[in-house]
Order: sequence, then structure tokens, then C-alpha cells
Amino acid sequence: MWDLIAQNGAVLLDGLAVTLAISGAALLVGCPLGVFLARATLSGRPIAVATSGLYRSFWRGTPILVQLLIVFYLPAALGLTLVPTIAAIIGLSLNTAAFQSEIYRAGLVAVPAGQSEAARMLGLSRRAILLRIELPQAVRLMLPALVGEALTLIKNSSLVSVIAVTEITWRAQQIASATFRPLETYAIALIAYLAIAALLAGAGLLLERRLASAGRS
Amino acid sequence: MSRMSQASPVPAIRIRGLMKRFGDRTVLDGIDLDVRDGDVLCIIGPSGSGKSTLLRCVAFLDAYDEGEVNILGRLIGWRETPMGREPAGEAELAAVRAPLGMVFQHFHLWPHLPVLANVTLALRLARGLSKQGAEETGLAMLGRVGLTSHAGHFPDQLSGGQKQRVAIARALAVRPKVMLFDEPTSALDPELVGEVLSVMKALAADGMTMVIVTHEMGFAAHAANRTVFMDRGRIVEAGTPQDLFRAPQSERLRQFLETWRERAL
Repeated sequence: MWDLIAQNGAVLLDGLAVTLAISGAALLVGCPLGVFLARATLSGRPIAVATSGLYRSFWRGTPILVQLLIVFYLPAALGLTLVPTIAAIIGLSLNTAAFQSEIYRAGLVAVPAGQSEAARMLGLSRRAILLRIELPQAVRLMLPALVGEALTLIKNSSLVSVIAVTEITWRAQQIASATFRPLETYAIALIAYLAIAALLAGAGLLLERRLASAGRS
Repeated sequence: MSRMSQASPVPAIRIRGLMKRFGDRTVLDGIDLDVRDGDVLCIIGPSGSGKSTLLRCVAFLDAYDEGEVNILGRLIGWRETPMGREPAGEAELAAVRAPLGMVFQHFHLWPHLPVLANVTLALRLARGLSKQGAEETGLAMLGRVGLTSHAGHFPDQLSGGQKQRVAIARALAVRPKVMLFDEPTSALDPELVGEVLSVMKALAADGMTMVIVTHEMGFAAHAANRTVFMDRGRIVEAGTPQDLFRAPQSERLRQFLETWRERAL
């Protein structure tokens, strides 16, 4: 196993970097989109509610592997060429937005109406109320679920190997078929995923503790 | 324009034929009321009489169904068009609402921000003041409610009375023309009511126009120049506190005052 790491470690690390970059990008793009969808659902306007509901049903109700293939092949069918990495980021973003929107919706609902009423009476715009009053309070409630979604996203990103994005699972596949040592190769990839997950969960806990103490001390 | 509004006595708040329903329940059933500059008007009445809803409709936190609420001569919340009424846009609503400040029963301070930031946030975001300018104003407002020393505290660290005083400072910071108080002392422990009422008395003495929904009959009797008694979504009696408390005309008000006097003993 050590010789395998010695020979291919750099390639795998490179793949890990791609994994993190794609997942991070999707998480960030999915965030405003998720907030937007949550706001649409909470707006009470029939068209907005229905559209946002349909969006969620689609992206939560179909397999992400198939979603990624569609996002990759659909533009090609329309005569557009998408770089696999971009297709991967788009696919993962659209998918995580659906899941994140439910987290934001639950978080925003949990902030009492009086919080925004006080802000409206003082002339704050809707945008300012969302960004400065509602989301900061909702974040404390949403953080555990958001960390969970980030972990899911990183794991889901292994699926973009099917559209030849050179992330860690794809690299592992290449190494496995070149060295005929699939078990060890995939075990190394697994440990890399686990390490990232542990780091992320730890960071989440730390942040949660900091947010809990802010506003009290 | 400004000369015209000075010449014609436009009431601070003018309410005509106000109707509000929740489902098939009529909560406000044709309210007519004027609030003039310098008025300190207390609205009293039993629970469920529509007092708080009236205040919320004036501020358009609840949309009223029929009638008019004019703030300094401008209709709040709705825009009249040849096709009928449609909801006013966000900016228009904010502009018409701007002269109103509101203090809530449950304070609604923002728990994630320190006291000073609670007071300065709107100055910075809605009024565009610099950080320094906003903090100067914020500290001055906290001074008016006697809480300058608590500027760095978070809301959780304050007593109910202190929270309400901060909420008053926050509302005053943006220089409203009229202050609306929705049962400002009802959520407070009895020993904390006095500090909030004395801040409100000082405000009234400064000439602030105030509309106060309250169960504090003593305050209504002594600090107000006008009192309105509401029951079942209507104004049953209106007049000076002396009129209402000493010579109630209606059976409903007599009963209401009787119950209150029994409880006070």
C-alpha cells in the first residue's frame, strides 16, 4: 500500500483538490439559489410556490447520477460544448440548491415574525432584513444540517467521474486499472474522503460553538 | 408643497371607515379616528377588541381590507388606480411608513446584535449614516432611555424593562413623527413597568405624538390627552381621559372600568 501511495500519492492529492474545488463551488453556487428557492416557497405567491416546489421535486426525486449525465449531454445535444468540470459544477449546484432550500426554509421559518416586523418599521429593505436580521439568526439553527449537506455533496461529487472529471474517484479508477490493485487504491481514496469529512464535521462543531457563545457573552 | 401642508392641518394619522377581517371574523368594523400633532392617545379596551390590530393596520404590518389610513396625508399600503386598489410597492410603503416608529409588546430586539448595533443598524442601512455618525446618534438615544452603559451588552443580558427601553431608543433613532406602542408593558414583570412608563412620559413631555395601546389605566388617565375605548372592533367612546374614566357613557365602558377597578384592589 505504501508503495502505491508513494507512486500515485501526488496524482490522488491532485484529484482530491479537484473534488474539493468542485464541491466547494457547487456549495457556494447552490447557497444563493437555495435561499432564493426558500424565499419563493415562503412568499405565498402561487406561481413562485409551485415553481419552487416543482424544482425541488425534480432534483430531489431523481438520481443524481442521471442528473449529471443529463446536464452533461443536454447542452451537447443543443450544440453547446460544456467542459466536464463546468457541467459537474452546474449539476451538483442545481442538485444541492434543492436540498439547501429546504434547510433555509426551515431556518427562516424558525425566526419569529416580530424580528422582521421591527426591521420593516425602521425602513430596512427586504434584502437587508434577509441578510442582516433573518439569515444570521437562522444560521445557528441551520448549521448542523448545512454541514450534513456539505458532506453529502462531497460524497456525491464522486459521481462526476462518469463524465470524466478528474476528481479523486476518477483518478483512483485510472490507477486501479493501471496497477491491477483496485482494493488498495480505492481504500486510499476512501480514507481521503473520510479525512475530509472528519475535518468538515469538526469545523462545523467549532463554528456552532462560536455562534452559540456570540450573542451571550 | 411644504407651505400647503403647513397651512392645512393635515392630521398625523387619519383613519376612515377602516375594516379588517381575519377569515370571516371582522376584527375592525369601521374605525374613524384622527391623531393630531402632539396627541398622546391611549387606546384601551378588553382583549380581542381589535386595539392591537388597529395599530398594526396603521403601520400596515397587517393589511386592512377597506377604508383608509393616511399617514401625514398619504395613504399607507395601497395605491389607488382606476382599476381599484393594488398593494403599494416596497419603496412606496417604506416611504409612507417612515414617519412611524413602533414599539412592540415583546420588544423584538435582534438577539444576535449588541444593544448599540440594535439602535444603529437602521441608521446605517436605511438612513445611510456613517458608522461614527450612527454610533453618536445611537449613544445619544440610549442616553435618553438611560442605558448608555449597556451599549455593548447583548439583549439576553438585559431585563425586560431594559429591553423595552432599548426598543424605544431604537425606534426613536430614525426620528419618527409618531410613535406607536403596542402594549409596551404587558410582557413585563410588575416591578419593571415603571421604568418604561417614565421613559414614555418623558417622551410625551417632549411633545412626541404617541398612540398607545395599553392596559395601564393609570398611565392612560394621567399621561394621555385623549383616550379611546374599543370593543368588538369599534370605537365605543372617545374623549379626554377625564371624560372616559369619570363619566363613562356606555354600559360596556362602565363594566370594563368596574372590572379593572376590582382587579386593581
